[in-house]
Amino acid sequence: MEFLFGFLTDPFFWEVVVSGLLAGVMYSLVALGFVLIFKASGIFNFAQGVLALFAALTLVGFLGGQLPFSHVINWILGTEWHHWYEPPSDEDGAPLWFVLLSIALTTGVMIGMAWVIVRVVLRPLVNQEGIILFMATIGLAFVLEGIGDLMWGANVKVLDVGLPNGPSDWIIDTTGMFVEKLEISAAVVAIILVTALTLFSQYTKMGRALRAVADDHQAALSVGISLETIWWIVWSVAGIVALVAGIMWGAKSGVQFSLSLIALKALPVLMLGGFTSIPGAIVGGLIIGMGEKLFDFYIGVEYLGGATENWFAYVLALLFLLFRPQGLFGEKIIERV
Amino acid sequence: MSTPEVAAAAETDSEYAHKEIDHGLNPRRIGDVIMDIRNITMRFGGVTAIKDVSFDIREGEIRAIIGPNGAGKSSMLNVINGFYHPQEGEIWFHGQKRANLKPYQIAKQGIARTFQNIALFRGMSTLDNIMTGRLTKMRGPAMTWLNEFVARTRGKVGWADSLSRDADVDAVEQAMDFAFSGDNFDIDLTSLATRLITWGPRVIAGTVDLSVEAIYFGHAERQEIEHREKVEHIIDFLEIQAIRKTPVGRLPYGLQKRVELGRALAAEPKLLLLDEPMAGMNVEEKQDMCRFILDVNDEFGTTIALIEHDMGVVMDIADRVVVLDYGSKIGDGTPDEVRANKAVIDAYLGVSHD
Amino acid sequence: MLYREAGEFKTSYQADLATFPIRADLWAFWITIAAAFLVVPWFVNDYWEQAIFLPFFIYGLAALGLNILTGYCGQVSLGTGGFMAVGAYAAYKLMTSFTGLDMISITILSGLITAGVGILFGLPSLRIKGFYLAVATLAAQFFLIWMFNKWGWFYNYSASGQISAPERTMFGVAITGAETHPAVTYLFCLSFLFVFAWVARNLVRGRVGRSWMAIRDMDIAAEIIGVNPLMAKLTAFAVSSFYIGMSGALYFALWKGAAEGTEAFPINVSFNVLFMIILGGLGSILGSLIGAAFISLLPVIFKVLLVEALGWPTDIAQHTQIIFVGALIIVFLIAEPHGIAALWRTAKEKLRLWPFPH
Repeated sequence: MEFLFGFLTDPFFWEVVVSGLLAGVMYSLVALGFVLIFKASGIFNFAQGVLALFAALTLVGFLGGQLPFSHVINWILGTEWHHWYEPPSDEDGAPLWFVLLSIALTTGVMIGMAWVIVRVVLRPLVNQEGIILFMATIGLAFVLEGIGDLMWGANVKVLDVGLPNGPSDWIIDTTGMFVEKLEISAAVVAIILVTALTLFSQYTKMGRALRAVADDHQAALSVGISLETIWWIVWSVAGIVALVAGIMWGAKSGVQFSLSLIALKALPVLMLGGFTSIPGAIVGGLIIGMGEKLFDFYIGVEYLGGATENWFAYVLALLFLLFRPQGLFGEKIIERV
Repeated sequence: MSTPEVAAAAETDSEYAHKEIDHGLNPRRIGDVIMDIRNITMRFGGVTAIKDVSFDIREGEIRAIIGPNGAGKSSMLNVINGFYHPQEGEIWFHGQKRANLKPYQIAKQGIARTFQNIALFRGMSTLDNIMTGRLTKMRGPAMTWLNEFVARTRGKVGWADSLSRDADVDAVEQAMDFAFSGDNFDIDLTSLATRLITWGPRVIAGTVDLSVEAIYFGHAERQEIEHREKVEHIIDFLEIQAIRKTPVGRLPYGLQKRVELGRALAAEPKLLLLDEPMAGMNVEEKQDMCRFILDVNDEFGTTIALIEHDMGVVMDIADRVVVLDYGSKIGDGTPDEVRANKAVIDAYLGVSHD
Repeated sequence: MLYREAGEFKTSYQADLATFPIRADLWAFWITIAAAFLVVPWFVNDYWEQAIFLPFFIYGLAALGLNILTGYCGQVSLGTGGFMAVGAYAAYKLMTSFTGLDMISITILSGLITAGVGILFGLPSLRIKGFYLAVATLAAQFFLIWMFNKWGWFYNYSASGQISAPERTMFGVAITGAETHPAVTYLFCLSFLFVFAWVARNLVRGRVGRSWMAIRDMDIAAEIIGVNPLMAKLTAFAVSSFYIGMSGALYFALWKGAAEGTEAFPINVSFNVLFMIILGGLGSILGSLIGAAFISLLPVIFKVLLVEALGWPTDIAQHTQIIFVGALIIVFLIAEPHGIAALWRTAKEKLRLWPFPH
């Protein structure tokens, strides 16, 4: 008991917990995109992380007025073009209207891309086995990564959409803990997003159609729901979720390729939470975010040489799955022959 | 419970021999009870799929299980071949009470089956599909030697007994089930520990056998040819020579059903379970399938338990019929008896249950 | 007209089971092998060895391994990089601890050690299926690489954290180190690929191979007809890891001569090997080799063709290559899920009937 109290009164413990939880929110954001697509189309979208990277890259491009494919264009035409407009700025950086406009434009790009993905990749693969679709999305991840690099360049970029930065003074004053303002805003955004998605799927006609498709493709088709439209919408929503995740991750640690690797961690989050559960994605993200920070802080650094965050999430999910293959919130599967 | 049943069974036998003579065929050898199913109850969550069902299957007979949709027929087959483990009840096979074995172990005891929705290996040819049916009969030289060693020393050298492969549930698997519990397997920790220790020789034997397969020429090739001959015999029997090398995915439905029967036959089963072997077939295909089933029963003396919806077929080919409705047994006996059974007529003609 | 048999003349099951039923194929096969073993070594130079042959042979072994697991047994793995690292570090530890061991034993022992690790990570496959398992294998990838990076024992506490292959000779000829003649490493790796491709072919056509394929095509039915799923999956994991481990050992000792876990065996290696078998053909021995040749040679082709011949900037060529590979994966999954090997087979079938297709 005393051992436990020692933890609970240790301010470091709480700081690790809070930073873990907030990191977990980030994982949840990416995981959310996976869940949406998996629920509606049964596709395990490996490219979700790259989608977030691509969205963040595009947003940086719009904010900076960068010319897409400038590298290629300049090489072909021998020109020196880099920008197609001068981004407006006032003393605080980019003005709000411009940030919002850029986000809207990026959203448009993501919706357009969702359409292309559905037409070119998914439609020809309807009725294929899940594992084939899974491998196709790995291919898609490579295509998107390559295109992103060609369009906007492969260097690390700074993303500044005017989100508050630095530690929150109010929290330091009241509790003595360092908590990044950015992470708090990420948490707030995540809550808003989840609420909105839940309302959307419960109370709108489109949401009901989505759930119908998730339950049974054939049945949904036979009552006149267009599978392609539904997929397009789902991939668009997933693209927007990816954009949000990309903004948060990008604002935190810069927009670069490693972002898509961090996003891989959403996979163990899903294994923990179950592939079809939105609350599962959130809870799974929080558990993994918190678990890996605590493990590294108390065991990893001391006994194992540190950097255990690289694998902790995967091993945790693996062990968990051995005991409960359907995840935290999934239903128990009865196999039939 | 059991007395009228035994009487009914005795009656069946005499009547049966009589019937066969009428048809001008050899009287078949209907032997003792090969499988005795006692008081099986199977629940899924809150749903009871099988309620306290008992019946037996005699050696050499064709036993039909009939009943309306959702009566628990397929669940019953799944219980018999170990895919489901019932909460209550016992299964006696060859006079021994059967432990909770895994399906593949039950297959090794000589129970083979076909499936309601065809479950062929789509990536493989007809020949390869039927060859997989022989897997229970194929074994590498080192494992054969080990098993013979165990058989020779049985009772003489204590530790050698625990090496036996077929005697018990596979040790590693049991350990896994134990560690990640959730499955209701009976676990005896001390025997588990001894078996895990003696697993070493089996791993070595397995590795040697893998190397034998890797070299191919010699033992593996001989074994392949030996089993190929048996499989070719089945192919001839089912008249599917022409589609030997065709990937099964390209075959029409009726032929796929036939290949599936071939795969089950390749295991040379003592008890063959057929789950709706004629579902979705046209009259001609049904006739063919009936003939194959009767021929299997006649020529190989295989005991057959089958589920079928076509009453005409059932009444023609079955020796005895058990009728399920809402998971309970409502009738059991010869086709004629079942046809006259009030409860069965009600169930089929849809008298209201209340 | 020449490329066919004139009817069904097989008189024994043995003849029916042959790998090359058509005589022309058998000849072509042996002529290729003879040329590879007897002619090429006289001409091979450093560039061809380092940029073309060794990558092909070594990734060929890895692709064979992954194809056994994924293509034949149906278990998708994203841990190939991690298992290659196990092979590489096992080879390093063996070379530095037992200086008397020859390179053949070291390679095979490294493979066996990797097989052990593979079995360990294969155990969950009994309970986890499909892409759940694929994600679970990521645990192997990230954990193993982390371990080789952090735990000094594996790299003998060298200051750089790198492992480098000590110089070894075989039959009095240098086989590792700077003095090695390209023909030596060429022949060594080629022999391994040849022998183990043949072994793989034997495994997949017999008892073990059928139990793998049964599990792949329908695991429940397989179990019900008598395949022990644990044994089938674990042997697939073991054999697959054995191949991948050997390829890791050769990668480190013969090809690169030095390696650092995080740089040499990142997750991209896992993807690349997976791409090899998808493009080459899932469940095909020939496909593994075609895929390995294709993906490992692609950077060379892009460099020679786009950068050197057409003058493309290096980074654009690189990005284009990534897009090209990804797009090719999608195209193949859509149009020909059985890969280049299936195209090749179809072409041969056509040729067999030519010029009278009906």
